Amino acid sequence: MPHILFGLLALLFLSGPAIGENSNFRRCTLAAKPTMLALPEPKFIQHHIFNKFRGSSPGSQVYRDFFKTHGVEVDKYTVRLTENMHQNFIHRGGNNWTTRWKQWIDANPNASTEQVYQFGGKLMDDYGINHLPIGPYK
Amino acid sequence: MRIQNLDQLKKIAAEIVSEGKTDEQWALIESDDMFQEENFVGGYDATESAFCFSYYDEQRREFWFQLTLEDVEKIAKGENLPIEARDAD
Repeated sequence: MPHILFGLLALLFLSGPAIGENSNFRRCTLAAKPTMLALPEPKFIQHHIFNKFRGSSPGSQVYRDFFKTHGVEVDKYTVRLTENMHQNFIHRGGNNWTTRWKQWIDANPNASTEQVYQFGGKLMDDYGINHLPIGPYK
Repeated sequence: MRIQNLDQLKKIAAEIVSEGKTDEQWALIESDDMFQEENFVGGYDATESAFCFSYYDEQRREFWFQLTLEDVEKIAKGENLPIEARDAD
């Protein structure tokens, strides 16, 4: 009888956690599902530094010709932003990137090419995106 | 110019309609690149009072077209509007 009791105790010790090992931690980590809590990746878009002004009206043609006159190839200059930042910060009502370009062109029809690029840079400064790499539209 | 991949345009149209904005509200947030899919990019242009888009075909040639808010609503409902696209400048 004592040797049976000894055997049961030995079995209990040998099948238990090793010294210093946290068995609850092991059970939790082994049961965890690694991807369940991951947030979805934000959607990124390419923002044009110089607007395209695609419209068919003479008004849009004026803006388009302005950049063309200065040799600005607008698709060469874009930055990658999250869609959320683009919609809620760059094009927000009252301080809209596109509207600011139109107002500036209206006010400065005889601007030099240097001034055109400088204003593009100023917009990047104003909206806090001057640290982003500039690249062509895809 | 015949535009393909209309599913992408319908997706954009549905997104626009879901915003529930008027022309005046869209004009405040005008943009030329707010909506971007593989073959389409565009946004509302206050000068045009319309959404102006680029469409890129399989060879990545660029064409331009524009849609009123009313047109966009029809596309979102599944109507097949004839869309006239012109060569990009």
